[in-house]
Amino acid sequence: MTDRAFLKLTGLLIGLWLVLPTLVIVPVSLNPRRSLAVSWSDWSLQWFQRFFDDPRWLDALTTSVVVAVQASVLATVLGTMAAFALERVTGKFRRVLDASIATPIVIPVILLGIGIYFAFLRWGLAGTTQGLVLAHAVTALPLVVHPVSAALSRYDRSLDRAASSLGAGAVARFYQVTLPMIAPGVLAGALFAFIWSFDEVVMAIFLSSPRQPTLPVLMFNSVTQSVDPTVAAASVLVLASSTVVVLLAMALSRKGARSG
Amino acid sequence: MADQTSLKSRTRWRTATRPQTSHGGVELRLTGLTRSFGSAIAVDNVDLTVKPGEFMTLLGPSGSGKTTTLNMIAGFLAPDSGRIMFDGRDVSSLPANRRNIGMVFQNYALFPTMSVRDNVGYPLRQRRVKASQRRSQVDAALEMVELGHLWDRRPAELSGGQQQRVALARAIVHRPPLLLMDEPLGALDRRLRDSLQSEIAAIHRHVGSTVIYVTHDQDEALCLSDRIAVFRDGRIEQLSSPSDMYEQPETSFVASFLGDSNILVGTFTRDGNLRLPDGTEVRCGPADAGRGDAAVAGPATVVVRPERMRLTELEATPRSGTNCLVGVVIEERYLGATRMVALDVGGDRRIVVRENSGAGQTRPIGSRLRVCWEPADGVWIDRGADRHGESS
Repeated sequence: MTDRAFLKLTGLLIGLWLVLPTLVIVPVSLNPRRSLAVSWSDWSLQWFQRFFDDPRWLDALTTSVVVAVQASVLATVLGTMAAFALERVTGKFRRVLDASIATPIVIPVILLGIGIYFAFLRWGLAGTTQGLVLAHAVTALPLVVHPVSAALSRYDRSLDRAASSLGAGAVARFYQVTLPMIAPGVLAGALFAFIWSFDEVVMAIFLSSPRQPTLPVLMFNSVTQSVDPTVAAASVLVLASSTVVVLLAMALSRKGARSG
Repeated sequence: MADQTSLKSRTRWRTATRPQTSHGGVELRLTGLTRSFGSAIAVDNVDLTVKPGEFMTLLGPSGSGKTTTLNMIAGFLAPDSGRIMFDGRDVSSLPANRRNIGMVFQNYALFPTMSVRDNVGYPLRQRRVKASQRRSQVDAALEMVELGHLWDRRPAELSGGQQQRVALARAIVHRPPLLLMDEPLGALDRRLRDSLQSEIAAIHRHVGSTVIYVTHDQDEALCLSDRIAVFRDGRIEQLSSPSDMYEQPETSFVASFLGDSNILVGTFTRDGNLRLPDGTEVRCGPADAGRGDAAVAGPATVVVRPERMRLTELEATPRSGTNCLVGVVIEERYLGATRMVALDVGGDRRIVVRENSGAGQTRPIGSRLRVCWEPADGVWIDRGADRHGESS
């Protein structure tokens, strides 16, 4: 066996080890009985049916999408601006800034959740959708800054000079020249931010409104408080949509890398 | 604030409604222009006046300050001190997009996400020219660079020469009174350079803009320019027409940067000749030029162009009055139409002669020949101390 084939096999096995436990929910969701077991003999789509019939699940889905869209837009605007600002900073200060923008990735989410919860209690934002949007947007910032910075580092600054020599002011330069060039990076960042917010459960448990839980919060409650296979159907839907969005985001960032 | 806005829109309106009229060129005046980077002075107190419609080349080696000067004229860099005036109006503090210029860059700097037509139309779009009018002006500019048929391509689909033609069309489509070019041919091969040179010259005649052209290529400078400013260490070393620059270099730096040259270093004698270190005296310059002002003998330098020198056999008697040295051929380079012959004339001094390559004739290495030139072909670089004096 060649080294290359061995590498491929090892990679495949590790991949299966990572993915298989997740995929177990697919047969569970098709289980015809009211239990979280796997049935190999027969199957049904009743739990998916239930998901789309039950207003609790549908409301949670709507809340999640609304929060994720707002958080993603906010994070994309702020993150793109931050990436532009970072471009102009060099030296030690740049490293400090890079590290501070990356903190949401490094700090355990539970700590962020608790910290933000106490801050929001004081500001009256705890338990509101706006509060959750803010929290998700801030923690999604590094997911936007990273691909946008990568796109900017490949951006040829002489295009800015060309545009301004031909009569374009700063705003026109940004919208007509720079943004179309870095658009794949910005879109990738937006999608990553969307999926981050859509899937996030820890901060959502602390911060979301009790009357309007997000989908992950409802799933968490469902698993811990009852035995309802609808949660398996919800999981499959979340898994499928997240996979599509992440693949799209990855394809976009690769496109950005090529066109640079 | 309100005044500024209305002024801006008025300027735009004027450019927009008279697009086909050639504005002609602007008069560009630089006074005391200075810029340093850290402790390095890149441009050192430069004064320069460029006449309307003139083609001015800034020539010099890299790091001589020519590009920094251009970037200050464009508005990309603020001068530390000094002023930049367009037709007597101080533009030193105007941003680049308010200076109404056109610019061509060495790396083309076309917008990759736009088609050729959108690239060329970009200056018109900034000036709020109506779409229908924009279209016809863009097509006219593309016709001028013979690329009308490629209007729907993306820059990445074009060759280097085509990209630079598009960049040229984009820089002139709005008929800027001042056109700046930063080594526009630097990234192209020789054949393309030659054809684009003639295109640039034709466009300059047609549009009538004042052109500031930065290059380190002496051939480009000589064939395109009305005047050349040779830069060295952030200063203008010499400012003259191409032929004066070549025939009458003022320093040995200019002489060696522009074309090949033989630089003879020696001492100035009381009767107005140059005495070489081996004692030979050569007569230089117009018969009596400068004799009077040279009361003191001192170090002196004379430049003679290789093509002004002739090689003869030792047996032939030189015409009286010509300067002659005897040397041994140490190198012969065949260049097609001409041939460069290098001779050692003693004391480690080297003379290079350019002669037409006659059929079959060669100058074998090791042969002793006489090299002669007319006194009028020797140009005094300096008599007395020359701070830039270099021996060759």
